[in-house]
Amino acid sequence: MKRFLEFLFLSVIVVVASSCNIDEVITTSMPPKIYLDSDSGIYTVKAGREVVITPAYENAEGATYSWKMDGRLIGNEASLSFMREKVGEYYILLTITSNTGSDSEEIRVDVVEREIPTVTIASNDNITVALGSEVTLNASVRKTSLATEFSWSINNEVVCQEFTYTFEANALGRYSVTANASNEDGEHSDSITIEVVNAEDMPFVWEFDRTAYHTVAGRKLRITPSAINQTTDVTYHWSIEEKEAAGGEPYYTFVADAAGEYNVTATAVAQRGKGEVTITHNFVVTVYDEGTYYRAANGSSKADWSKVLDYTPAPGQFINELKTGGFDGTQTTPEAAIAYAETRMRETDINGNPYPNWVSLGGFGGYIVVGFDHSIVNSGDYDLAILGNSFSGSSEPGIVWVMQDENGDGLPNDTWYELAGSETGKDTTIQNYAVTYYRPSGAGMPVQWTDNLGNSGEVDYLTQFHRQEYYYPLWIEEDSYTLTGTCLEPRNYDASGNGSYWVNAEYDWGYADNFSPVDREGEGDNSNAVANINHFKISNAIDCDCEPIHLEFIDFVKVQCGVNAKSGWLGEVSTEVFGFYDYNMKR
Amino acid sequence: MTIQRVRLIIVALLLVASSCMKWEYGIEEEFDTSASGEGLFICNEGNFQYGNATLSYYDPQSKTVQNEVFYRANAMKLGDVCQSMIIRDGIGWVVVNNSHVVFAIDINTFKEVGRITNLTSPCYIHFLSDEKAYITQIWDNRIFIVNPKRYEITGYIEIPRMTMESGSTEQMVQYGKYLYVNCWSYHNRIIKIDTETDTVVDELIVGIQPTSLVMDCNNKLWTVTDGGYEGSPYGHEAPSLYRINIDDGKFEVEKQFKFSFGDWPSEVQLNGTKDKIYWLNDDVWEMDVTADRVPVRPFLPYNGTLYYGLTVCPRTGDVYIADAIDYVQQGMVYRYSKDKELVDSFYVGIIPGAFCWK
Repeated sequence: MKRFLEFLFLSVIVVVASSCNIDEVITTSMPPKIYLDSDSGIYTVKAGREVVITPAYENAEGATYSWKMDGRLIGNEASLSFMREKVGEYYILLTITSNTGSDSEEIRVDVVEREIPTVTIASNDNITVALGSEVTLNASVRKTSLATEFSWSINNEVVCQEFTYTFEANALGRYSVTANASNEDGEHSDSITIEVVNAEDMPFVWEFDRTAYHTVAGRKLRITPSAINQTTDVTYHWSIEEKEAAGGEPYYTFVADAAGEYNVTATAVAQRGKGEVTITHNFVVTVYDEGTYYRAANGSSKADWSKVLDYTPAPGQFINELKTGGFDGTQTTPEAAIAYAETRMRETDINGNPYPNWVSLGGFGGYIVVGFDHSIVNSGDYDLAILGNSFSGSSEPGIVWVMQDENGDGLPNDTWYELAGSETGKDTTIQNYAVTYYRPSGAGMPVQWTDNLGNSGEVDYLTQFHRQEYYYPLWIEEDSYTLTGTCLEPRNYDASGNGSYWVNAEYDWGYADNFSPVDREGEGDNSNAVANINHFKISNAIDCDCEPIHLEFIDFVKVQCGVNAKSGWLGEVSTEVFGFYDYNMKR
Repeated sequence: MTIQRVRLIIVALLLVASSCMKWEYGIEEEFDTSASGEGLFICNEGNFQYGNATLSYYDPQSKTVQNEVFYRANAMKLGDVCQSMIIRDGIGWVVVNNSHVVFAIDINTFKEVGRITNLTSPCYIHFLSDEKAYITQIWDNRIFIVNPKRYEITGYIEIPRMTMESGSTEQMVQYGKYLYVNCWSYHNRIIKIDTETDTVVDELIVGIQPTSLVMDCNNKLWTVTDGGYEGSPYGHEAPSLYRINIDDGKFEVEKQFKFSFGDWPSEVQLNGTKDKIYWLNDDVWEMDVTADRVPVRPFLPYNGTLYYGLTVCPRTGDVYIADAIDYVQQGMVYRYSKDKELVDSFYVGIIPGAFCWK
């Protein structure tokens, strides 16, 4: 429009100037000219809505107009009304023709999705709580460019307009709790149901995800519930072969001196007002002798890992990512995710030489499990090497776990033993820390999490850098999943004081992807790019009570992201690994 | 982790990385490309702190590429983050950012003939004469003045309102006795230097983080900003392309072409006649230097990969695009005719970012 006004102004000047020349005949032989009503020539409209394009024209008397898209005429007026249901870029050629000439301009109409906000509640869909208790709920809303209103409502009555809402269970009943977000393009809501019952009516949950266990003679086996919701007013009884066993905990530490099969029975009696609820579980524990399934290395054994057995990352900026992350959108099953990880870590350069690529474990708790074609012997010194991408100022520690194939089935279904590191045993290190991640309701959203300490937060969605739709692994079928492991105190900090420069400081020793001054291969600050390998000793293995345990050998290795933190614009702290090998074979 | 943000990480880590390059040696190989005439050098940054920067050489006539020519010719690794290269009088000046060095090489044999060392973190070199050149730096508030004949640092130009920590000077364009430099990381200005007095005499405020600088056939400067990034303490805005008038002592924005918020344009380049500019913004874009608006249709559409570098052959108008792919594996260069036909493609080194025409 501004240019058109300039044109009118100039036209007036021309007319005034020409009017002085009364002896000459003024003729209009100038060709027509188009002045678009968009500086960029791009018109943006929401899908299903109409945009009217109204250019201004110069020398347009008697002119004809044509608007063509893909060579097809879609209009012949001076203006064009355009609407499409399908999102996309539409190129349109506008031509004006008169007997003095013609002019053309190519324009583009960007038909974009409506920016309907999407809201997610970080919670399971159904919750049962006791009368008098409270439940803190968090919601996140996908950002849009439009002003968005947000509210919580209970049974359709608005109760709060903050993203965090504390539900107070003051009366018995069933409540529909809804988080709603709306803007001019539409609205979206997410709901959960909260049932408030008397304390004595609370369901007693004490579940185990296995009925069969195995271990090695003389070693502790911790039989731990996968879900439990009451720790007081409950009596636990454990028996082995019908003989009462010591302890009265919801979990049991089983130890057998001799190989064989043992029947274990567990009973919990929970008090419920005047009554009680009893739950009984039966387990079978198979005990093997140490070394039964030891696989000695031979001439054809390879030092490198032989297969990826599990890849379950936490949500993160590189998960499902199509560019640097190396995903291609087909990783929608655990098998495909494993194949992805194997392919990445087996990449070669153009000459066919090994050139492994990194695999991201996402935020806290994300892990990868690999196996070898032989058992790795405990030498008492460094036995394992794990490749990461740490450098000075960037350590994203991964906790290393090892496992013997106790039952010889080739699967990592035995007992994991953590390899102690410099932070083991410190007050700041949390064992059995668990984070539950919740699938976002829509694309482009952060991933919310809650932990078993009552905290909550988000894995940020980094629009600027990684625009895949979801950071939540596509192959996780459940709408939430929980990752449990050992959590270190974060060492990241904003060195600049203004958020521009973040340091992920290193830990002393014992962690993968850690710029360790002790166990990392290479000298100095690694500026000359020596391969960044951390070394590990099987002799540092600890058991479920963090007590040292001797393992003659191991068959599987797991690395698990050991920090729950994010570093400003850099995003979540996430361990990356490139590969694993038996250091004894390359020493 | 932030593998993608290589340059930003470079900025961040220079605070803590007091590196000391150790050269790795191999077996020297003989080259002589003097007969080939036209040639194109490709600077492959490599992964930061991995010391795997390389130099590639492409013969457009025979469509053949030689990779790692510096290492092969000198039996010595190039270093860490090869940032840029220019040629003057048969000598190629290769700027290796995190190795704090500028190598001088014979452009036909690729043999090193000298090196300028003890630089902070060099980005670009610009010659004022045979005995005087400027070298811009990141994480240093000075532009280094060097004597290329003696490979010596002879002085510094301190940049006003810039600390060592926030230091970032980049590409240089000379017009008469004045030199213009874009200040990129956490800056928003083009500075003007009097090359006779080696002092900053003026500056022009543009948008957040101007990344490139060229001068067209009408003596107009062009720069493009990246707009920062979400969460940046320096701000985040819609980026813009700027046409800047420097004639008659002026130093002013003549035309600003705004992009959409969230775009990340970069790599402004010119064709041989300097009447068309090109840049990357997911797609490859081309525009007449006299245009009033950016075309609505890209020159080459985005193909889902990671365009990282761009150049236009000054003789044929062929457009070369560097694809960093995933910043880890060897990159690819695509060569298109000015009519948008794919002419050739070839593998180069890791993270190809800059080009230099022989």
